Amino acid sequence: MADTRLKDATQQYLNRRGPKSVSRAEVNMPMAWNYLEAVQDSNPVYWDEEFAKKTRFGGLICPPQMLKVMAGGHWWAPDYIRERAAESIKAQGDDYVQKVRTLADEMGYAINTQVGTEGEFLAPIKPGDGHLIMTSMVTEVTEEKQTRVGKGVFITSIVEYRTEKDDKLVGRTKMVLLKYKPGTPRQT
Amino acid sequence: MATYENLKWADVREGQELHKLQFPITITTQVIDAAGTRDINQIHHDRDFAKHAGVRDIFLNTMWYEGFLGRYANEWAGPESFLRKISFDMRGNNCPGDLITARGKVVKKYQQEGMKLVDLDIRLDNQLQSDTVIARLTLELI
Repeated sequence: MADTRLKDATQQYLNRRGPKSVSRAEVNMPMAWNYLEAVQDSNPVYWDEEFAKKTRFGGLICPPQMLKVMAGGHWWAPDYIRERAAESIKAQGDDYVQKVRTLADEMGYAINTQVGTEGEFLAPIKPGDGHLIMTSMVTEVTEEKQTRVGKGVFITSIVEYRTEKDDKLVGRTKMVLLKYKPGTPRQT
Repeated sequence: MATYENLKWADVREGQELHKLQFPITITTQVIDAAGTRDINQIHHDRDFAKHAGVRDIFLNTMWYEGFLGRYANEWAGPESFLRKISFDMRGNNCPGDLITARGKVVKKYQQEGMKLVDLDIRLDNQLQSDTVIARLTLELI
């Protein structure tokens, strides 16, 4: 009989949107160029404005697959900036994704591994869109399973991205996170 | 990409294979990866940390693959193509000293919600292992 304690406890949090978070930067080409440098992508719709204007995109766009990167927050920021951001998030109400993760931690599923990644891109992001606004929700929590690395649960969550300028839904990313108990690998 | 030509959806055949694309990885690749994806997790740049975590070496992150797979698909189809969906599994790591080879094929050609789409099956191999990444992309063509 599978252990469904976390699955049962988190039912109430599924498919409920948490607080909005805001990207550190407005959609911009310099961050796109840093990203493109890493994989040496020379697509002219990202680099050559004259060329890009003549395409169906009408101008420079950012690579859609960099949505998560463009939406990123600070890696490090002064405490007073972090505190202000945390207060603003808290003021918006419950963060259901965080509640699920905290419950999972409390039940001993302490180690995190990302096992799956998906992205869906509804419209190009481009300079002029302003900041990206993100909301997240958990869509599934499984019963405990014995995986190769340990006894764990798979938590699926979705992030939706909207532009600040016209509140346009530009994409969704889905992540499957395996949270497992340390020291419980599959015995072979 | 030199000629910036676009593949037309009408001309694509299911089963058609993409060109091969190689990418050699160095420590500097990992540095530009961290800078470009803004992922400063130690496992991607700190070799001692990686060793203690029990992995072969520092390795490329998920967001690098998203960038590389997007580049590969758009290079094949041309600048008017637009990535609609991406999904992949990571089965093996890619580290400094490795050489990645991308290969792919068209598995489906269809129209949906007014868009002309192809589904691509793309694999990233390295010199040690095939299928380090198994990806499914949906690309919109003109």
